[in-house]
Amino acid sequence: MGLAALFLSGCASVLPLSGDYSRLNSRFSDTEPALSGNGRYLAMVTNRGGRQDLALYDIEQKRFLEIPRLNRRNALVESPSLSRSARYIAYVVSERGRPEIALYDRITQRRQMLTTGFRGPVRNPSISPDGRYVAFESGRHGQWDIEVFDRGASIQLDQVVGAPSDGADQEATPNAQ
Amino acid sequence: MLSKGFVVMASRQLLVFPLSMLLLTSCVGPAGRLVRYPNNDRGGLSSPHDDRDAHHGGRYIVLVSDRRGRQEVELFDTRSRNLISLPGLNRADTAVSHPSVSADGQFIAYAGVRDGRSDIYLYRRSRRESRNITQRLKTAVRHPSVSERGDRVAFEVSVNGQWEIAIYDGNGRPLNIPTNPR
Repeated sequence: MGLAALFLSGCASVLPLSGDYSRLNSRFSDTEPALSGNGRYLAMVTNRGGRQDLALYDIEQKRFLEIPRLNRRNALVESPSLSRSARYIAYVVSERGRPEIALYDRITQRRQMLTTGFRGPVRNPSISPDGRYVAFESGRHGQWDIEVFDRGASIQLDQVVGAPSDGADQEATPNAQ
Repeated sequence: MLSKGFVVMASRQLLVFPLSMLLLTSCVGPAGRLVRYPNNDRGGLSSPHDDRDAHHGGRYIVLVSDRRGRQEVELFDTRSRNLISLPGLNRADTAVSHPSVSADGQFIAYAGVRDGRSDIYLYRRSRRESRNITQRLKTAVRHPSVSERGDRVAFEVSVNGQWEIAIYDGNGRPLNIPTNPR
């Protein structure tokens, strides 16, 4: 019973999407735009629901897409960044007073914390188009530095099948570094 | 049955715990590791000065750095692990922020303030020049984001006292999207 309660508190309550999501912009502030590598999707921070939420817009279909369980009742989210086809969303989430960098996978609809245990403040993540690397600002040396987090060779890369090869070529050999 | 399973899980956790703590001191944790890029004033990704606003374009990482005594855009190549020069980008009369780089490192979108006016610029490395893509917008703009091909730029624009999102093509034309500021 206590165990179940523990799990429940860790699993944040799912938020119903409130606010007017019929158009790209709203009567409320819409900020921090981030394009996916392929230019089709746009992540942003919006206040249209009466709280600060992350939202994902499909520029081709001119509509918002659902990102289940990313926005949570007890969490403040900001600074989104998208991989090539918007499979991965890197962002900052503050839940227990400390901003952490999180990674949301739109296929599994799960999020993973990347900076748990990291010393010093972190902010402004930027994910590589293939989804393997996340650059972010770290304040652990008393000033802002850029650090790059490598999720490893075993992750599923965000590769668009049949995508034009220019640019994607650059991503084909990330291990070459 | 459930509680027995939990005990097994818990004991496994206890074994793993000190090991993971050990890992945490050297890197971030089991989700991955930090890449060791050079940290210096000459060609490092970071420097002993302030480095911020990084955008990971795949091969290239673009950022804003104070290492030359003023806030300038720097381009880091993760293959050669060195900085790439950006002739014509950083100017004494322009305060730059929020750069964003295309996959081939040719295009860099950034916000620039010149003569008290904020604009979004698209720099093309082969031409060694920046184009102002928001010349026709009369209001404040900031925070651009460029696509991998450098053919689409999203940014914030101030409309009636609040920030909205605008999406333009690489030539500075607004995409045909309802409520796209133009």
